[in-house]
Amino acid sequence: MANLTQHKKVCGILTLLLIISLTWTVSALSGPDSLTVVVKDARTKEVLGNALVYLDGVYKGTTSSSYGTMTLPDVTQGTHTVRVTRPGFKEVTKKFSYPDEQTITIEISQGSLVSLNEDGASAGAINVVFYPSSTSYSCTDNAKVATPLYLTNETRFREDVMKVIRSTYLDLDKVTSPSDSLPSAYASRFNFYYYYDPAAPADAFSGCAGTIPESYWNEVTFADVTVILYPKYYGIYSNASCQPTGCSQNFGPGRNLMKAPADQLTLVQHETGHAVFELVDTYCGNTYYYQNDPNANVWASLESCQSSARVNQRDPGLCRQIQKKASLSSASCIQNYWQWDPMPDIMANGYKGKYGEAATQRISHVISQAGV
Amino acid sequence: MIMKIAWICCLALCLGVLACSCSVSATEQPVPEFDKILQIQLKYDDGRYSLSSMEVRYGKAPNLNIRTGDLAGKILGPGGKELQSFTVQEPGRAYGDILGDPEGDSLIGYTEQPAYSDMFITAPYEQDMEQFTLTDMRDGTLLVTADLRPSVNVFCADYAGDPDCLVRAAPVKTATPDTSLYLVLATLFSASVVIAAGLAILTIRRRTKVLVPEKPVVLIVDDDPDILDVVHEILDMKGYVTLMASGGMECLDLLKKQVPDLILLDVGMEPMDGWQTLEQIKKNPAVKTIPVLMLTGHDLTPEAAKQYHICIDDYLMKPFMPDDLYAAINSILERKSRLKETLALARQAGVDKEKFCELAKLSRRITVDKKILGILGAPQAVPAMADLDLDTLDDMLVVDYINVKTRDQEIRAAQLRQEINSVLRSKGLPELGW
Repeated sequence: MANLTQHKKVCGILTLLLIISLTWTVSALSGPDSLTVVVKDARTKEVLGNALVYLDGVYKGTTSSSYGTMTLPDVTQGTHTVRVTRPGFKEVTKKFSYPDEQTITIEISQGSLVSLNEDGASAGAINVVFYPSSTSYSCTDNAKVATPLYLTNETRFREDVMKVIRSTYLDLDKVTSPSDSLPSAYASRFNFYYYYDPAAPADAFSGCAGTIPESYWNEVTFADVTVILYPKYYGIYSNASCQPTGCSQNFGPGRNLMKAPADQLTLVQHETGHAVFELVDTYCGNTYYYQNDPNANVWASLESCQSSARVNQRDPGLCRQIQKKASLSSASCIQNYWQWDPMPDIMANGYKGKYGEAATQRISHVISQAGV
Repeated sequence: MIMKIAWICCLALCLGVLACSCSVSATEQPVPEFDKILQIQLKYDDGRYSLSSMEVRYGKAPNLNIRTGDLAGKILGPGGKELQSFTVQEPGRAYGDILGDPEGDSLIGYTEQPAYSDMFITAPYEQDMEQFTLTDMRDGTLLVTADLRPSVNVFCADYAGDPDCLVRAAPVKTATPDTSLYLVLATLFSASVVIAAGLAILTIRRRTKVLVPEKPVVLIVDDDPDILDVVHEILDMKGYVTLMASGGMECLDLLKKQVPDLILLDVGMEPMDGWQTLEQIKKNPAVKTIPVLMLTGHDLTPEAAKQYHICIDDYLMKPFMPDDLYAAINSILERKSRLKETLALARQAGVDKEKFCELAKLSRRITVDKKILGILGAPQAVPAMADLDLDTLDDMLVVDYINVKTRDQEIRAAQLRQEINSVLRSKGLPELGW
């Protein structure tokens, strides 16, 4: 009997302990020391579930799909930083003071970056981002003109981007020489995206390679090259005063910019040669010449060109100085640099040709370097 | 017997927790991301490079190793250990091509090499990174060197729980057994039972949470040890964490190692006075953004006001009451925190960063200038017209100068505020409250 009474007492104490312990746990989870984070879509103001919530750099979990909320227990007094991310949305960070603020509402906006890789981005691949231009050029007025084409028609922009991707990257073996010298599955070594925010378009005709709003650079930090694509010129291409232009301009890793017209695919390939593969022009004219080692396509001396040719089992006799004879329309030109690739070479011609063997070696080198 | 039953109950509850945890992990969970980048902005000015800004933030980096160029960038760790290296070209060099005659010059080249340009370097975050260097490989000239630690410290102050910051905070780990999550949960739960038991026995319902206040770190700089002690005591009473330096040089040395949230700087120090120290702080890109509150026992001279009004965040005359100091500190830190919050909103809205920064700077200058004008414009600072001598006339000109400048700044700030608010409104975001 005494044992039974003792047993009841023990059970009673344990029950009490468990109740107190559970009460404590629940109060810690949702009690007055907790913080509620509400995540909403900045545009629709609707609550968003499955948003990842981090407090002071610690991942805490995701918001509930029904209410878009997450309750964080045991928040200490003081200043904290809450960070919210969600696939397809721009991440937001907010500082707040607890317990002054016990409910934090964070509005996140849909991101403007669209991935074009069906299986998602590959780590270490070369990141190419296309950006629509709100300007083109009028051959009638010989002036820059605003064009609504890409800003009002995302499908059209996407189609033009896909055309460029196919001809310049996915079918690279068709424009390189010899075609089997590219790394295997080279197409998978690129991540393709386009950035579409009609409220923040690029201007292809401001500066050599165009300009892009600063908000893009804040959001997209990983682009190896950003390509401003502009629609076909208005009017008819007639002479040198109204011919499409391309440009490549680098402001440091992550800010490498290139512009090109969507309707001139060889010119796109030529600019890609500069911007992605750092190939040097092989035409004779006003450009920067240098020996772009390793795997150069232009050399600073005949000996260097011949030596490279011999090492790579190419005919050293094909090394020649970059030059051109005078014609009716232009003066003669000669540079103290040498080339090997045969004509028509994409790095010399805006209408036709291939990347020659030397250029292809450099392309292979760059592709194989990515992610190493 | 009691212990046995307690353990059984505990185990049963732990299993409940386990079951709950398993059911959560069975569903597909998004993967948290902790990728971080170092962003360095340099100014290129006709062959010379200088550091404009530096930041560690969440994000992904481009491929550094597909680029070549004559400039070598290096990220170094302790003892100069090379953690990352890459090469880049001079910024802004442009290769332009115009389509020509298909049968003749099919491409016509044009080039641009700006004498002035910004250069941006985005590199992946490296644990233990301490220094960045940029060298011209053609002649070995060191173009830029930057201490990365303050930027990492700023990041880790905001995201102390980030896995990389935790590693930094505890670099030397004692050998601990590899405890599983479940064991940790069980231990925590057992601890909660013990605490609950203690509470039950004491029949006192109290909070079990330990409050760890996160107060800003304030660096006090004064060559008078008594003042240092008093200000430390005043701040300590409010739970502020304080650092102390007994002179300008000591302050600058300390800033190489630690980054406070605010600096209280005495003006009348020797051999390096407060204004000279302020100049050095503002020259160092790594610490120049730390707000500085000037403290002095002397009147603010119009000359000093004219020279330094753009560098300081507030000005406090000694002797001051503790409440004055708290109010000044709170006002500065609130301004800083408000600015960070609105910067996030502005970024989200795509507001032009330069305009936003210009407004932020103007807003601070207007607040400080008005306060300085209040001090200079007080009867003891500017005597009546009858007592004017040449020096006083100069002083009045300074007051007029700051007055005019402040009015111009207010007009420009109103214009910028209107532009930024219109962008924020168009994105459905709240307008600036300052």
